[in-house]
Amino acid sequence: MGGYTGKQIIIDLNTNREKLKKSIQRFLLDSLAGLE
Amino acid sequence: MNSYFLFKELEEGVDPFSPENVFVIGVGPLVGSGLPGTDRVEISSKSPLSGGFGSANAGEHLGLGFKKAGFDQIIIKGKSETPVFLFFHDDSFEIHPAEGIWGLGTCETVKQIKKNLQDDNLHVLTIGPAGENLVRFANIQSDCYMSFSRGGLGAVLGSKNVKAIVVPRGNDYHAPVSRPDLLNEIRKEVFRRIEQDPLYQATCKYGTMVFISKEVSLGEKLSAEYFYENNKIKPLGCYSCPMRCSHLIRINEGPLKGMEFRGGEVSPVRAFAGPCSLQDFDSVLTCSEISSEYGLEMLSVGGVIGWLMTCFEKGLISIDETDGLNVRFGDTDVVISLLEKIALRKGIGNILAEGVFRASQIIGKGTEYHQLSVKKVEFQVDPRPARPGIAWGFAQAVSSRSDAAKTHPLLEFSDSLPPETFKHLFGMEKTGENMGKIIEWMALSKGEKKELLGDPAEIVWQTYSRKAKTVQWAEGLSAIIDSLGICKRYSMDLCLALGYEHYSKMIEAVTGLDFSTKELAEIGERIITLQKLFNVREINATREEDTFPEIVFKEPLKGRHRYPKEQFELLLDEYYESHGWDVKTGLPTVEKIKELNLYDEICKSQTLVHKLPNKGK
Repeated sequence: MGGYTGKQIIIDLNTNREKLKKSIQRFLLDSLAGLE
Repeated sequence: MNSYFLFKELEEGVDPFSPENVFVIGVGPLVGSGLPGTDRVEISSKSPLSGGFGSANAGEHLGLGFKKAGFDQIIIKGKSETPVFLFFHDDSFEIHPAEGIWGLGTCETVKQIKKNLQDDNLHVLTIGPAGENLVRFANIQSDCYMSFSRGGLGAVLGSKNVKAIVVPRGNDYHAPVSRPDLLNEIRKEVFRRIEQDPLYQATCKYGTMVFISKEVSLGEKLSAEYFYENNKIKPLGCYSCPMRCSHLIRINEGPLKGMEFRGGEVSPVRAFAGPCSLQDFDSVLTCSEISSEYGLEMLSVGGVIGWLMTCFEKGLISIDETDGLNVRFGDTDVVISLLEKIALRKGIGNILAEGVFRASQIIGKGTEYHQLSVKKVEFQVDPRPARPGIAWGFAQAVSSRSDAAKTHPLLEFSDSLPPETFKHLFGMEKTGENMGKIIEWMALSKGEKKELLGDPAEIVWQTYSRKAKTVQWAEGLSAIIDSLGICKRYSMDLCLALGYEHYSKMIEAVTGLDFSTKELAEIGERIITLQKLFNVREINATREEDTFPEIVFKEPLKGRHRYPKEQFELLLDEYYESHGWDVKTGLPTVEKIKELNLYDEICKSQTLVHKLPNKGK
């Protein structure tokens, strides 16, 4: 998908830890297409 | 995507200052593509000021830094036990202690963090004392001279004990491109559209000060021309943009005499010359710089101080309640004293730090009548019919963050100018023929032109006709521009240099995705509807809430007439109809929500399920 890699990170400061790191490339495709 | 994740990740009814509030940073897919001004970053959170949807946007080169760090979206939840700053780089992040910098001003924090990390090549987003002290309109400063302004999102970071967010500078970052040939073609076209725009030369010269050219300024020493002659040193530009509309400026008088910095936007003038009646640029820029160092958002702090001055003048608030300050209009020293009191929540500042709506509720005694806010957010501009037009004023009443700058409905600007100003800015006489040339230039499809400007198309700034439709249309386009990471200075300012067709080509060139202009307009509509639903869920944003304070409909202001209530109600009807929402309640209908594929999300909220009408009335 060209220039969009869509990397998302969720940080939980309660634990000072990374909660989730994932690609949101698929989400972007879906959300732009209105399928989410 | 920020709107979606905020809606999805935030538990309904959460206090904006609780650890459960969610702070989202998003970088658009076009950032770093080499297209002009594709450097913007959007942040979103539940606003401590409105209690509803909060968002703010900044750029220059910032977006490239987040890209270089390896992230397109960062979501921060919870609360750190001790003050920290977050450093994102190389696809990872570090949490650093911030006890040593807690309490510092924003510019000082930027310097200290760079020193601590032994790296000058960084972008630093930081809160000041105002954010730490949970001032409800605290902002986030970016690298000393830019800010994520409205809605108090700096206080959200403060509530989480996050002093700053740091990323590397990304000047060498280049986004991977799907179709370099098409990118090259659309880039040339965008440059051509910017450089040939009728307002290009004036905007390069004055930046956003074009809004206050001589004949429409607030005073002799507050015009764009005066600023250009006396305070501007040289033009400055942003990432890959030919339009150098920012400035290196100098303060010539007052406590900060001789100080030079990047700045000179029209917002400080709106903040301090309007509500507080400061009379010259040196005073305005001084207050602006001090606000930035404390991390105070200017439009809100100017609004709340202006309200205090009004109430003081009318005898509703006495000197015993202002810590002995003689709070007179136009007094720069008083404004400076109040900025400190508000940021540090000292004395009367502790009440003012709550924002003008809450402050008036706390003090009472008739001061409530004089507060000027929409959904508890201080006015960006007073909506009583004035330049740059009816649509700009109205947009505040319905905007998800109560701010016309977010919506940017600027089609009326050219007609709002007196003939001599028009000639000065556009380099041509204000005639029907030349207005026709501007209309012809605007990047509107035939359908948009007919819907927004009539048939035959004309721009008439002082009429109410089609202005609500203009706002609804601008909201959608603006949401697309923010989502892509593009600067609005050229894309929606100027004479509408770009339209949906250009954005469609940009997306295809960079990502390879093919979206028609109709699909993009629908995506814009979905974003705006989702933000509206967030506000319905969190602050019951019905038709009754989409309004101005009573005083706006009752009293004129400094030569402007009162806002005609009956016209306002008609605008609301037209606005909801344009969105396909229920006119009676102002709420999106279930039918519309299904059409936008948002129904599954809505079903997760019992509040929304019970509140939303099935079909419009």
